[in-house]
Amino acid sequence: MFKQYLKQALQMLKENRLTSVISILGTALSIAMILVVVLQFQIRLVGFRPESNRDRMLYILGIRADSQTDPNNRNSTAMSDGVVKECLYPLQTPESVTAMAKDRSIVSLPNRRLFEEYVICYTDPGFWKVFDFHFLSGKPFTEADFSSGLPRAVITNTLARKLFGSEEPVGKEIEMGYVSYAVTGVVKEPSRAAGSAYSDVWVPYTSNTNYVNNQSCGGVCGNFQAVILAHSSGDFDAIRAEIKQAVARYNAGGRDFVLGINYIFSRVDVALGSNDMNGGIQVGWLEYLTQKVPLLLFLLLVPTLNLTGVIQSSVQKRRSEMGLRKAFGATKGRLLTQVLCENLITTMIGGIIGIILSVVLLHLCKSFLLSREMVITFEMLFKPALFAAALFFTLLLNLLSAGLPAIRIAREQIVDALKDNDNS
Amino acid sequence: MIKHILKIMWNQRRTNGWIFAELLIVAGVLWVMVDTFWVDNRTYHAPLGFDIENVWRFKLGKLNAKAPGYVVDSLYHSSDPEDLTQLMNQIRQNPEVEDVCVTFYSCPYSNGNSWRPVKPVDGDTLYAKTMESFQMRNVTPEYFRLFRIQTNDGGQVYDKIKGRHNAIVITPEMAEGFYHGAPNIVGRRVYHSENEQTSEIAAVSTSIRSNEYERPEASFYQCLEGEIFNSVVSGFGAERAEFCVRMKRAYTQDEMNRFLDGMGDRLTVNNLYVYGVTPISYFREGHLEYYEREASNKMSLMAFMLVNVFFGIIGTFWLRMQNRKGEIGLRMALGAHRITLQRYMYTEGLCLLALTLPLIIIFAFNMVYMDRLDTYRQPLTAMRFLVTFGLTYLLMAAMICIGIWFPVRKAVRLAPAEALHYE
Repeated sequence: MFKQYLKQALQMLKENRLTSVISILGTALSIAMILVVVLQFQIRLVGFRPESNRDRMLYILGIRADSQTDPNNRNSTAMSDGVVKECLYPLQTPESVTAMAKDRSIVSLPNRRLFEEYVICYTDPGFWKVFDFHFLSGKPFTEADFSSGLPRAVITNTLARKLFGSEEPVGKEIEMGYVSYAVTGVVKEPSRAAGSAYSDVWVPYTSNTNYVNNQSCGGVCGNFQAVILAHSSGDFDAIRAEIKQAVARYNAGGRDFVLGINYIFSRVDVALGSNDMNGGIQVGWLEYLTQKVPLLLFLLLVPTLNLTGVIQSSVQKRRSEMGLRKAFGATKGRLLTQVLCENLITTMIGGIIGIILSVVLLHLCKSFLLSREMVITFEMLFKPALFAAALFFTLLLNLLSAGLPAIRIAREQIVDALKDNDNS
Repeated sequence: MIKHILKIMWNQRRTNGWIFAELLIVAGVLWVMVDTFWVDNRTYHAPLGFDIENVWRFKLGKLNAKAPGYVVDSLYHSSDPEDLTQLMNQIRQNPEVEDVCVTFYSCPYSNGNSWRPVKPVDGDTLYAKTMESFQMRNVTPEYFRLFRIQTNDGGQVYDKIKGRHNAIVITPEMAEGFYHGAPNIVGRRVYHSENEQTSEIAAVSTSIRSNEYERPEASFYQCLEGEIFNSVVSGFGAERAEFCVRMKRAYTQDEMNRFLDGMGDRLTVNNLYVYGVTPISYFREGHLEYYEREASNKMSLMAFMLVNVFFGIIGTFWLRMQNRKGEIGLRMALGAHRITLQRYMYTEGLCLLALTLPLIIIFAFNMVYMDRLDTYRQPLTAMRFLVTFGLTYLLMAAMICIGIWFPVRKAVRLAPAEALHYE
């Protein structure tokens, strides 16, 4: 039966080329626009190297530091190295923990002053456990480098090529803020889509005295954010509880400022738009969907009206055929399925083109959809979620556009249909 | 002819209904978007109140204790404000430099956002009872000269402010809120913060906008001079200063880098040093990025809608033409000229569009009534409605005509005999 529908649908596609092309293109465009929205979210959510384990990561993006004495002195900022050392490094439940602070600086060579600015990530050895960087040569700075505050640096292959003309500069020196750093390793440059891991240079934060022993607001406020890698996402609650205890212990020390870690986000929270800078907001699915669903519906609705018009006309042309089938005993349900299935062929072809088109659109419009410098990789785009979303929206579009004409034709009186009577 | 077309359209209402609904929705949404573009565009081209040409921001850093040349605490006999002042002097002495100023989170296109409660000492307005917060910009007096900020009567703000301590400059929006157009605002005093501290208004500047897409807001400048300079610099830290330099001519980034290289030791004062230079226009781009992104998003949505209108029209009219081949043939056989036939088709499409107009006008009235349009940045004027409606319908009409053109071309090329054959 379905084979018959397929044949018939293909025949109809061939018969009326122009409207078929228009229906397919309309569907493809609509599906592509929807998938672009889906992809934007997907890139923020799913893991890819060096942030492969995003589903097991927890994020501390900011903290509160409220004065014990002055009720007006309340701060919402990042944490100091002291907080990291006392509250996060001793945690038992997670697999590993890292703290990082990013800044921009000029990277020069010892004998040559250069002027281009790069992102410098001040971090710790845990960073290389939380994120799975691809080392092209050398290795990360070590625990010993970190504890002695030695100036060691890991750089990207892009920077290595720019500075040294090769990707093998291990052992050579770069200069930042008049301090010479020895290069210990070269990694493949991460995409800017990896917001936490992204940088051009990574150094132990102990190597810069401006990042240790931070004294602002009683030693609570500083420059660091933290990423925690759990053994599994099932441990999230245990880790949150353990951090709560650690914060309580930290505050028991009787400092002038009370530390508050209000939000420990999972990747889903971050992808939905949660943030903890200057106040902090947790965005849930509900808020996200109320913002996005109207747009998605609109992207579906406009082509739906088009398609319905076209399908309406083509079904109209086949009224006598439908009437005849009905006269010989075809049920309403059967006719309904037939129209929907036949139309599904068109929408499916449109859907497949839509997937390709969405990737093309994302690349073309990268500068305003994502960011100009962001590199999009195959790994970020082609996840099962993309195809599931494509299928879902294709079916939805089919149901919306062919549903009404199908119901109409199925319910028509046999006599009217056979007579091709247009008064009904 | 119109009457006849309306009759035909009514008879075709079943297929026309869908395309009409689409036109209606697209016209509504398109109009709202065109309206936001109108607002953005008008706002963008209004005067900003300052000028950033040839202005560069020098980026400051504090030396790492491990760096050679680091001055250890026991040997350090200076202070942040002194270091910063000295750095300003060293850079100002260079003959290629026109002017130097320092601000804290207050430079144009910086993301600074400091607010401070202020009220007039002698005003008898709403503001005299409560303290309301206004945006404050912390700037050294040279700021007004460097960014070419003028008073609202055309003079230079710098001339009014130089050499004065504890003085503020307010924008006309703040003056209006405080004194409601009363004369002699200069010289009056305002309280600021919760304590009893007062400052004198030294000048009223022209309206200042924080960027091209914003409306001017009530705000004021606190001049960093003497004691206030010292306390602000110590409070924030000298390396947090936005160190702005206006050069005498236009420089490229490379030339600027060479300029820095040539300055050598003069870019370091104790542990404070200049590590790089960026044009203010770079920060401007960063600041406007959000608005441009939004505009691009809207543009792509508009393109999407227009393409859909095109598809819808071409599809509907193509099918209609096929269904009405008989009718067309008959008309041709009875002597209708090709051009007449074409005109019929185009008029039919445009009539469909015209029919959306009354509904869209009702929709527009509702939007105005519910205050859903941006009336904050641009007022509602007849001009605004005329232009936005005109543009919306022009775009849609163009799409419809392109959509009809193709089926019509096919239809009128039909030989009458063949067309009649369908009848």
